[in-house]
Amino acid sequence: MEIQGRQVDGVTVLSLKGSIDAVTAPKVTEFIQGQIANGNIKLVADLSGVDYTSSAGLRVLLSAIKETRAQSGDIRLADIQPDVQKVLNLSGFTNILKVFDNVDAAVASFA
Amino acid sequence: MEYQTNPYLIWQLIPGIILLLIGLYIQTRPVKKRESNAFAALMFGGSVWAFADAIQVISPDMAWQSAWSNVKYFGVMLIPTSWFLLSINLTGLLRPWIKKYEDYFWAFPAFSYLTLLTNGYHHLFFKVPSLSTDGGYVLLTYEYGPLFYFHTAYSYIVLITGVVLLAISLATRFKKYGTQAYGLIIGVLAPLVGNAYFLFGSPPAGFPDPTPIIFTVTGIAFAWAIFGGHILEVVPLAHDAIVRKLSTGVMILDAEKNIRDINESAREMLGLTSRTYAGDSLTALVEQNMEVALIVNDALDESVQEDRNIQVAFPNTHRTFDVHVSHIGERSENTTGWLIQFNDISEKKQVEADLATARETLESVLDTLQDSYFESDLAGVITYANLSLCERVGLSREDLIGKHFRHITIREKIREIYQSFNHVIETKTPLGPFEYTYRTKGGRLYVAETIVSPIIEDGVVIGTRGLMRDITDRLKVEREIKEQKDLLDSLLQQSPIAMVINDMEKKVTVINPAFEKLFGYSREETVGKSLDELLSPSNKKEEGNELSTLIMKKQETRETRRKKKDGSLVDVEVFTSPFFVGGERFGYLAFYNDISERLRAEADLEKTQTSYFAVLDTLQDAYFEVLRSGYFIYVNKALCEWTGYSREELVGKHFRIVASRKSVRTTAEKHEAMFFSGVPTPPYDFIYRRKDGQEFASEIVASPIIEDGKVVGGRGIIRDISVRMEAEDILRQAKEAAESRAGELSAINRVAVTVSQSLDLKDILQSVCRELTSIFEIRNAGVGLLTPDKKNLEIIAFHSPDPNEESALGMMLPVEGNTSSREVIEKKKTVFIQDAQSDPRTSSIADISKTRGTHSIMIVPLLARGEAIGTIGMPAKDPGYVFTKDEIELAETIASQIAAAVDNAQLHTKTEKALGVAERDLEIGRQIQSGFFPETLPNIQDWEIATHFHAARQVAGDFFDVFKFKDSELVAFIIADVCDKGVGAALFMVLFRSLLRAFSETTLNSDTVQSQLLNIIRNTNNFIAEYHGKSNMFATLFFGVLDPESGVLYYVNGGHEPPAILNRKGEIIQRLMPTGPAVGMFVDLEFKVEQVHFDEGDFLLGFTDGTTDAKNASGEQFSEERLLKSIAAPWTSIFSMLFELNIELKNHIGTRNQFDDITLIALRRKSASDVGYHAICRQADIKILGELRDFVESAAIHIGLNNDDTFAFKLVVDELCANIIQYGYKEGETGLLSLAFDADKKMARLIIKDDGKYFSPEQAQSPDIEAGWDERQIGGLGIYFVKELMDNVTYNKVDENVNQYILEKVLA
Repeated sequence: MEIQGRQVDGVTVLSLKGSIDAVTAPKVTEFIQGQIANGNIKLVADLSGVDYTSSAGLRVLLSAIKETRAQSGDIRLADIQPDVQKVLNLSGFTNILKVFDNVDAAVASFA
Repeated sequence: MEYQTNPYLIWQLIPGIILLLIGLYIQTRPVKKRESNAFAALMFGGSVWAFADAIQVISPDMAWQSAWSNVKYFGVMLIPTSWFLLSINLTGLLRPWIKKYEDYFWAFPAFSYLTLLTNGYHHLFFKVPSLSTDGGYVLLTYEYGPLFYFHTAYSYIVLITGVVLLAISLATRFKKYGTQAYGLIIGVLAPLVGNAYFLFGSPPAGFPDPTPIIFTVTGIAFAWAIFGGHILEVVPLAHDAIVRKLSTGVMILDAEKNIRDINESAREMLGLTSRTYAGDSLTALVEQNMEVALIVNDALDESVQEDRNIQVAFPNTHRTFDVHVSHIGERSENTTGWLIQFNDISEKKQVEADLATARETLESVLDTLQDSYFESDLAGVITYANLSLCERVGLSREDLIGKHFRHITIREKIREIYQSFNHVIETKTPLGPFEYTYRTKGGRLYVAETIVSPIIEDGVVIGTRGLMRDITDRLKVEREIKEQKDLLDSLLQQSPIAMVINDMEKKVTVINPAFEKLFGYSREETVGKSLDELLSPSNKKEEGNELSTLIMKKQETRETRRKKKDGSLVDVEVFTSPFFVGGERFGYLAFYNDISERLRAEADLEKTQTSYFAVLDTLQDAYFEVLRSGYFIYVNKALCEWTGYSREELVGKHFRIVASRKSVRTTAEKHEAMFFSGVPTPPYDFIYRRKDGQEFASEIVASPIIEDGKVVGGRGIIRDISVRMEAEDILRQAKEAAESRAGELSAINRVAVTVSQSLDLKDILQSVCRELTSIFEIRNAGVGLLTPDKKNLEIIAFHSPDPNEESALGMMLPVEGNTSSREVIEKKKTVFIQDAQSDPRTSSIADISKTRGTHSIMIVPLLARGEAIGTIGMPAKDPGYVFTKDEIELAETIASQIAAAVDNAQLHTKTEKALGVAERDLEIGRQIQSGFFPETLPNIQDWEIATHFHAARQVAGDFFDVFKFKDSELVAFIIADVCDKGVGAALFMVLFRSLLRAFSETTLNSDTVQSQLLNIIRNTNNFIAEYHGKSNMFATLFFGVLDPESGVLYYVNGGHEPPAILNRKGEIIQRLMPTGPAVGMFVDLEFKVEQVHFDEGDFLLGFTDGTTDAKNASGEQFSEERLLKSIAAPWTSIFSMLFELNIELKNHIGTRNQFDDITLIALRRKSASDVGYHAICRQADIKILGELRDFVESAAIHIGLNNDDTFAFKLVVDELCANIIQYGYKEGETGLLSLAFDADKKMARLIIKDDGKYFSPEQAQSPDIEAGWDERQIGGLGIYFVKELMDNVTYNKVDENVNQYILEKVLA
């Protein structure tokens, strides 16, 4: 699992690569919490490189949603791969998340 | 007619003779038949030629000349063919092609000679002959016919061919011929030179054909070269001397299996009659002689190139031959011959058979022995065990023989046994008897008195033999006897009763301290003396003698008076009894109870009673005692005076004699009620009647007389109340004062018994308190012990006969300010407080005293080893009661008894606490141990490695290690068991592991691995033995080095349980037996490196004895047999194997604590056919989730599931396995997960098995997936996915230790 962050128009774009499961999720959580602690509360997760997530990934997302939204920020998803989409659908997370086709659209949505 | 003379005649005859001699000589030589035949033919031909030519030349007329010419041609025609055959046989060239047709070559000369003999008819060989004269010699001359040219052409072709063959052979194999080559060269060149001279030179007239002469040169040269090269040397002489006279039969065969040599012994043994068989074909000989056939045919199997030994036995003649066949020839070339040696070993065989019979007889005798008998080799491997040993050890003889002694020896004794055996072997002297502890297959231990002696053959020790006498029972009996003796001793030592044991002569043998104390005699003064002499007072000697004689026969109890050392007398109660030792009367024993106190008390009582009756007589009131039946047993003086009867008249009469008729009925009723209830009557009116009939009114108060709890009568006073009460009071006090003295001893005894019966402090003190309340007139009794800081007294035992009284148990009484307690503790003296509520000494507990209503209280110290450890508090029942001096003394005596018990109990507790500390040490040891296991195992291409470790309750010394060597693909693979248990073993385990790792810090490669591995083991062994030899620590150790590329495992097994190797079918193909002793015992132990090759699918399982010795609840061991049975199956993964084995183990062990570690290590070479099985088994580690998903994906695709279904299974496996790994196993616990996947067209099924804690998925809450972000809960999603994606989910425990998920999904 690789994760990197970059700033685009005041929005933090997180590029993730690999699978998110019980092994890798703690690393992702740690990274996102670091971003939030630094005041980066407008987050876009670029999921183009994530081919798989288990419920462990959803837990990461849920805690990110709760923490960012508590500070009037948000985490939005972009470029979701089919298997990840299935998990989001199954869990009903699509109802509580804003999802975009690409990173630009997601970044623009914060404007 | 006249014979002509010829100057060359002599030159013709000499070669003729020489050639003939050579030919004859050769025939006697042991050479190849064909070779010598051809050579002989050549020589014979030359000889005939030379002789006939000579005679022809001197013959006078044509007829003679013609006749000798024909004879000459017989010789001439023999030469080319024999030359040719000789050259072929000599060189071996062309032979393979010509071999079969060799004899046909004689057809040419035969044909030519036939035409020559018949020439007269056809003149085709010679045309008409004529006689010519040449230089004065008449010679027959011919014109040659066509057949002559045919003959000449043939002759030259074969002659030249022969020359060429010899030349080629010489050229190519010059060296091989050695000096003989020169002979051969001369032999080959001679005909060529001769012929050339004959053809191109100009011989003088009458010069004969030189061919015979030339062949003489050839013959001599060849004879020297081939056959005669050694004639004049020493070797043949030696050969004759040694081989021919050798008692061993020797036969030498050449490559064609012709006999080249056979000696006398061989001929005799084989029963051959002919003098020589040299040169004969073996085949021919075999046909003649069956025995040769059996020996030689068996020996000459051409497919076998090595030398070998065989035995051939002839049942008919009872003869046995030991045959050794060696191949002659260089290794790179084919066999050039065989040397067959044979010995007639029939006699040896017979001796051996006799020996075997003797041995069998011996063994059958040994088997009847009750004692165990064994023989072992130098290494300590058992080579023979008699029936008794087998039975005791619990193994069949087959199993026991071949086992090392170590296997039946308890670990602690292994080193000792090694030393004992080595001592016997080195000194060649027997050792013992010494005690040797061995263990049975079932793990029971036996002790045997053992004698070991060396087995010596030809002055060399080849092993040891020993006799073991089981003394387990004897030791047990000895122990029991010792226990009995100890018991008796302690009884004697500690009993307060004086005891003495006398022998049959009435001499003292044993006395106890109480005896010394009672009579004042020391042990030295009494032992061996007559007891009667010592103790009988002068006036009672007779009685003592009579008594001791009497009690030789039966038990006797008697009260008597005995004399102390100082001459004073003491009253004793003597209990005597005959005393038996081992069924034999030994003497008698006597117990002396000092009853002077009791007698004094009784005397006091008697005195008191007398005075009591005197007192009664002084009463002004009438007093009486009656039986239940109403008859007087006592009346006082007043009653007599009142009624006018004398005492004698009243005692024995019924009460009614003094009762008025009016009172009889009432009195009878009152008394009856009193007798019945045991309750005194209240005062009632009574009218008595005097003897003279007068009647007077009075008042009676009566009380029952109770003996042993029964109302036996009544006593009463007749008069007014005040006087009566007074009298009764006096009566009671007098009686109790008397009785209490007598009760003291029995009170002490009861307490002493209680104290000695239990070790539990609280129990003792509780009982003591109960006893105290029955001994003294107290409300309750409480024991307070000083807390460790000595600031408080903690009430740890309390008893009150009144169930309503609140218990003071657990109460803390401060010592500070509590002057009374302080005084008791500091001065170690009893304190009596008249009023605890107001006394300043108890001010600090005044409140407590008030609440409890305590006034009068006695506080007694508990003294142990001179120190006060607590107090006993006893408040009197009567608030105003004053404890008497006697009561205080009694209380102190009791207190001193129980203080010792308290002290003991406290020591006991301290010991237990110390044990607790030891437990903590063990925990440390365990952590040391597990901290040194490798965190991760190296990944090896095409190989699987798995380990399992289950710690014992106590720390044991197992360890394993797997690591790659520096800069190398080679992998070290170690399993070991350090002897002993506990922290020490753990530390040694670390030392062993560190040494192995340190010495392995070297670059290994396939060429040097063996020597380097040996160095690692040697260095480790020497280091431990040298620097830690005193600790007697060692380890059994299997160290393998795997070359993953070639599949070879090099290993040293230092006395470790042999790992098993199984093939892909699950058949055990090998056990890697020890290649050396356990590591670390002595410096410079010998180890060997062995190797084993793994085919695809082969696997190895290493284990420690903790595995096979693991016990279940009923004490049965898991056993090696069951271990091997559990793993003997075709596995597709080493993890599946470990999974199933673990389950077996867990099921076996149950909840029983394990005494020893269970360590398993497994190694498997993956097989190409592993792919395609849809099953996987992995160590339950969170890191393997990705691998499991990959497995599910590839299996699903392989089965033919679509994308959605594949994804569903992948997600479900991920979620469930993550749960199982995270919640099913404790931190640091190792477990296994197994997945199996299959499907048909309609349904796919995945089974997940784990050996962790059962965790029901039902426990997880279903998440509300409709909820908004701020209401959503973390958790439960995984299980929700499973339920959502699968059509059927079951989860249950299928086994004691196995949980199983079955997930089914209907396929789209």
